[in-house]
Amino acid sequence: MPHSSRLFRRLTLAVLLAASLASVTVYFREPESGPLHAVQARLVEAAAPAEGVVQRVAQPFRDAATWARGLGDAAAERDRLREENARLRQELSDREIDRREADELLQELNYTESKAFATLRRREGLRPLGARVLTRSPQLLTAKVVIGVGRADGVRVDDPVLSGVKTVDLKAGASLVGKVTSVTDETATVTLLSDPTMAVGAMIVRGGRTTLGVLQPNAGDRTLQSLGMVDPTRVVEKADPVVTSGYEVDGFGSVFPKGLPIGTVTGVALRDTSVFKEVQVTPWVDLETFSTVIVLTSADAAGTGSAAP
Amino acid sequence: MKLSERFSASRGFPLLRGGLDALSIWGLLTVAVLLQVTVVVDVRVVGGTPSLPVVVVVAVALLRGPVVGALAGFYGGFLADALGAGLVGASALILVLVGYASGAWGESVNDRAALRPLVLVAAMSVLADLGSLTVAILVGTGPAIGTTLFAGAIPAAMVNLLLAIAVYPLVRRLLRRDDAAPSGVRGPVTA
Repeated sequence: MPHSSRLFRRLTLAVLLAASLASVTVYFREPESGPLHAVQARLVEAAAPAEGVVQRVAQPFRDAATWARGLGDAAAERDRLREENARLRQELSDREIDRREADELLQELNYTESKAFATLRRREGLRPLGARVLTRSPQLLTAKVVIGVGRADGVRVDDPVLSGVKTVDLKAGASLVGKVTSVTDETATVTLLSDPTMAVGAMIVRGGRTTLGVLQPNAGDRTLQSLGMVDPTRVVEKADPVVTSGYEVDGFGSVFPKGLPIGTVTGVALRDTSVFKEVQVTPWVDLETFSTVIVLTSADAAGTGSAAP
Repeated sequence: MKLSERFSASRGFPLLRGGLDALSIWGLLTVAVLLQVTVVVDVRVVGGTPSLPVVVVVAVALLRGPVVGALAGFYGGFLADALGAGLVGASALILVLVGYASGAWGESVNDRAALRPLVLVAAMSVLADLGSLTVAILVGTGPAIGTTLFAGAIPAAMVNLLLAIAVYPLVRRLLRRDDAAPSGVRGPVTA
């Protein structure tokens, strides 16, 4: 390359760089009314029509791009919101479970501190033992749960099992859910009131009078119980409380002490063809959802486990 | 023979030919800057914004050499700053260097490899972004835009590379001159 040509190039570069730097410096230091700002304003003004044309021509493409991007963003946003929704639902569900369990425990505590239980403890020599439900029977034909206390804790077969519940018409704080039907060192199986094999000697308490019967699961609805063998001459009305009778009725022996809360009367019927009243009872405890229990063990069967408060 | 072909074949009227060349480059850069400040500036690809003026300046510099490249860079940068309401002279400073360096590189590589202009466009895009960052630091806005520039530099370079696939052949076709050579001693890169 000739020397003159090389010099020309470098000179051109130097001039352009100097011009650029001068522009930057001047523009940066001058006021808004300065010459470079004025040139800029005039150029913007002059280019405005051309920019307008370009904008108009490009607008459909921009709209299409925005739309496509919006679709992508919307899909991503939808997925994110779905995930967040699932997470929040899970959190809500966990909190609801925790709250319900806390309610149950509180009610069970209230029960063990109640006068009713003090009387029971004194009369029957019972000791409350708190436990958590470990598993539930997956079969439809049975209603059993496994709890986390066993023989080592003093649990024996036929021990009554209650769970805490808070309802308007139950002051005790806990209600019968079933009885222990098998026990290992660490766990016990509880057969619930809704199990077809269960029958409980029960009585309806109305004023100072009681009406005896035998409580069995309702054949059509597992959430309900039927109190059978009820004297048709007795007055029974809805909302009457039902508790364990502690008596043996027509061969159905009762392993439960007298006075354990069970539920409330929600229906009464007397058919022409029947010699007994048919009383429908709704247990206070939802037998499909409780998660903690109190096992009423014999005070002299205390094991190594810890008793409920 | 068409008029344009007859014109291309002739070796006369160098002033007229130079004028037409300058007019083509002026038109190309003006359109590129207009598109940049009106449309392309809104395009975001993985955080990076493509730069049409950089692509056009590199293409012109490869075809016409460092002096024309630097002049094109100055004009394109100045116009982009003015129309984009930016710091006038900042883009000009960067594009002058980009144009000169691309032109010089085009002279030193006299082959027909199609990929080299594209690679150069990508490299110059990154350098232009670094230049912008340097200027931003000098005028005190570096920290504010530094992260954006760093995050967007590579995606922008990739998009510029894709743009170059379409733009470079177009520029080459517009500036075709059978007997043209860059202002250096070696022939132009014709990809």
